[in-house]
Amino acid sequence: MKPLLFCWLIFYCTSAICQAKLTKKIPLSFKDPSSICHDQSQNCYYMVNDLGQIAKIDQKGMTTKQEKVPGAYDLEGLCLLGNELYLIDERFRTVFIVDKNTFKLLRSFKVKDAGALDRSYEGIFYNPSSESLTLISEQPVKIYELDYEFKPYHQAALNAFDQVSDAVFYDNFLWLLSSQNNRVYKVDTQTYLIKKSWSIPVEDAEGLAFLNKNKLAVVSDNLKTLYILDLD
Amino acid sequence: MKKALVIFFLFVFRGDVFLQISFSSGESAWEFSSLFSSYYSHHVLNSSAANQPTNTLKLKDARFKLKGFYKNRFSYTFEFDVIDALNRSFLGDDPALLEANFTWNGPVDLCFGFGKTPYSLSSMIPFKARGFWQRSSLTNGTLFYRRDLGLTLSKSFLNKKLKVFLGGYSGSGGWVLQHMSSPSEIPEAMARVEFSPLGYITNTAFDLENTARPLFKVGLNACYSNKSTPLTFALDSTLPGDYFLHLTNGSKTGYGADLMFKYKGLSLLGELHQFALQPNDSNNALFVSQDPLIHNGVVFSGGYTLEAHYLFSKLKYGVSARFEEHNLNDLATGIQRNIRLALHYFFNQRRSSVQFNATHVLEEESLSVLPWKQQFRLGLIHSF
Repeated sequence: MKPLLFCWLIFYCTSAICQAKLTKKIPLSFKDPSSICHDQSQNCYYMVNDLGQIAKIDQKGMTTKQEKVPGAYDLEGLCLLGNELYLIDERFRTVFIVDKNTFKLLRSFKVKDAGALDRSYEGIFYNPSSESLTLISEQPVKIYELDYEFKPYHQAALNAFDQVSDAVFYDNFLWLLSSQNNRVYKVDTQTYLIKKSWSIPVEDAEGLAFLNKNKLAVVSDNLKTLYILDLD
Repeated sequence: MKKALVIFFLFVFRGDVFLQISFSSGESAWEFSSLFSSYYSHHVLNSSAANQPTNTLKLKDARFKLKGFYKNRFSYTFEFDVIDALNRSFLGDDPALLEANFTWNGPVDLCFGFGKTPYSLSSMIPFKARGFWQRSSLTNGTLFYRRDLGLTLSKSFLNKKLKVFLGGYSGSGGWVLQHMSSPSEIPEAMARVEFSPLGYITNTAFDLENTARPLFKVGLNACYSNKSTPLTFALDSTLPGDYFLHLTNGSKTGYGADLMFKYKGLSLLGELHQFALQPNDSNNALFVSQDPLIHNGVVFSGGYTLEAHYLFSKLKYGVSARFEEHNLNDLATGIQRNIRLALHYFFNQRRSSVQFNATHVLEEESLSVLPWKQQFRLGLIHSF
């Protein structure tokens, strides 16, 4: 009887978390999408991939504009600030700033990280509370806050997480996506402690964006599919 | 020397550090990484092997790897095992040089140099991602060379669901590093097709991605070599391997299939391989002193393995079980059957693990009689 109870307890502990509800699956024509952001003003998505390309995607998943970013080869994260898109190249540790309408490269700069080439920067976001552009690495999970000259001035290890594939700042919280754990985490930006987490029925989830307070867009790299999910 | 190295690695490299070093300059990037593994084994010996040691402490690996990239067009890999070098194992089935190759990523990926051959899923799974200290005899290099010098072409289709490998190799494995290849100039051909219709699956024994929906992958493998060594050519007597399965004078055809399934921490792996070997000389040791005409001069070798792994994702514990049955030479009496269980504790964000293996030999083939019936092995694998 005791082994049965122990097995049940292990199963309960590993499964008793909130589940995000899948509402829509949208196939994409854009190859190997590795990150996503949502532009509410134009009601469209921007995506990047590990071939160094950026694309504008409509609500039906169709690519309306696509460009290769000069000098980019392994784009893994992006965020929208005003009319500029900030993209991060994981392998070559480079941030690219491009115009969101023309995709013209405006500026690029390097941010060093001595970690594994394919376990480095996976997300980029602006944190209004620290007023800094922030990068996050996949494994070990660390944040790198950049000053107004784009120089790293603060690093912190997020030991509560074993892997992260994207990060977004929304509604005063940091939201982290883990493809390894199939979860989305809501994280306090001061303490980096988990406030809540949701299990997501998405395989190989690489990018995360918010459509509104309860609606998420998650993109899968290998399945080339955009998933719309509802949080409870 | 080995014990000193064990102590050095155990005490200098703590489990919570990452010593992987990478740097990039312009459009080039490099990465240094390493892997260390060491274990302690206890054997329950057969009565006939009472003079054998029952306990051993072994430093298995101290590997160093350099990987470089130029844009996303070229990459190159160099990997070396210091322990094998200290054991003077520069050649043969377990060479100290593990990788020295260059890849051009174009419409078709072309990889030239010394490295893993594309035959058998278990063989292609990296050491730190497999569930046991030892690979099955079917896939550990006994039947085919796991590493060789040659050219591999590979291409993915259907969003990485279908992948095809084609390659031509020296057919001499690690021996080629000492210019010990067979005088026959016909390369060994290998091909592999793997198909995962529901989505891409990574080559790891454990379901490290905690796959959200059931995924499976089917693989088919084939290889062929036909060598001819003149009778007057002086060939190293150890080149054909422990069981003479690496033919230096004759033809060898191998077929194999593998199936991998992953879902929510559970992974299953099955492999089946069959080789037909036809030596040119009737007095070849493969015939084990029997009449070569029993199977028209052909010797068959093969078998199957079944593996199951479960990863308690949150708790960072894993369990594994494997059953294998093989007949290395159908002319020799008996078959080999054994069962192996493993427990794992993962740490350092699953880059390191403590692993315990228990092996029980159920039945043995006359060719490969072990001095023990049970083996218990506890050790540490640490990658940084």
